[in-house]
Amino acid sequence: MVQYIHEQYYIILESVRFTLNKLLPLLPSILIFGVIFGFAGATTGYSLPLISSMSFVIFAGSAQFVTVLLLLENEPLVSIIVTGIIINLRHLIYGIVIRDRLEMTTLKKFIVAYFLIDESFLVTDMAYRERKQNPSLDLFRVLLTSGIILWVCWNLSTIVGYILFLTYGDIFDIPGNFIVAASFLGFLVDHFRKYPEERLLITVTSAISVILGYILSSSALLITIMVAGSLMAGFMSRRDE
Amino acid sequence: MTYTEIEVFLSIVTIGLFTYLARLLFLLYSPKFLSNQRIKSALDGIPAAMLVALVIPTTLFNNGKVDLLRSEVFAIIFSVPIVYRFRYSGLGLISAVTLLILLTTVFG
Repeated sequence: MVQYIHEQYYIILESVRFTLNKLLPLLPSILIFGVIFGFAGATTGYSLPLISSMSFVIFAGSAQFVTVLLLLENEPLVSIIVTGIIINLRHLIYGIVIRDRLEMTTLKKFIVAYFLIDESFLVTDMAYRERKQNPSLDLFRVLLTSGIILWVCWNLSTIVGYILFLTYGDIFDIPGNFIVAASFLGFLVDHFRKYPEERLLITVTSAISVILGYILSSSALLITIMVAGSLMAGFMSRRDE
Repeated sequence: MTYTEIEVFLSIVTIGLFTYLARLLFLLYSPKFLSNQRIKSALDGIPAAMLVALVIPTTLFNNGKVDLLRSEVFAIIFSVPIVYRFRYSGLGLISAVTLLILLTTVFG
């Protein structure tokens, strides 16, 4: 019994340590992005509770940004809702990948679904790959811990951004897109270096993204690239067989 | 403000509900075709593709057109060897923002 408790304690500790280690490089960008979102939200003229509610109800940065942008442009509410939903359809794919890698009770699925965002998905994927060397990593705890940390940071930074706008007015001139690209750049380079078998996939999807960037909006491009990447990975595995 | 706070809040709740359902759907329900080994290999390619989709277009495109002569592009490009050399993912944001500030200070 004592040994079981000790083992469980070690698994929790290892999973939380891994999550913090991988999440730390992402946190500055989450905080900056959250502040910029709160700031952009304040420019719409809606109240802090309403803008803040986007961060804890939707909890998906890109959809929230687009919602604010469309509100500023006085687009019909139906268009805003449909666009927000379409942007977040990529989360369907995350569900497929996570289900394949992580066995959970139904209750746990209902809980982690709320925290399944781009960054927590990425950290859980890293844990899945790392588990071959470190079997004590618990993917459920990694996903939950990363989701909770991201949720707290995202919601607090939204409030800070809103208050900053009220206090200082327009102070940001770094584009939001640049923050996103810079945040994930390190992970892309790291992925390229660590997994030689995926270098061809990264190169080809990069070329595809440049070509499709001319004709697709960012949300459509994101979904298309993920689908193209998975098709190519499937094709490559067939070739390897 | 075109809409009342209640109208906007109901829209937010609708988007939030569909987002949650999108995340939950395949966690609860797994179609049979997903057990195929080739499909599993295909799913393994998604994280790399997601990283590409988040970095490459946002770096190279500006208002739907390729625009390479911007400080942001140079900041990202010069950050690649730094991250590769020091093997720390967090350096991506730190070096890119530092370089962007330097470039905009020097070249305007």
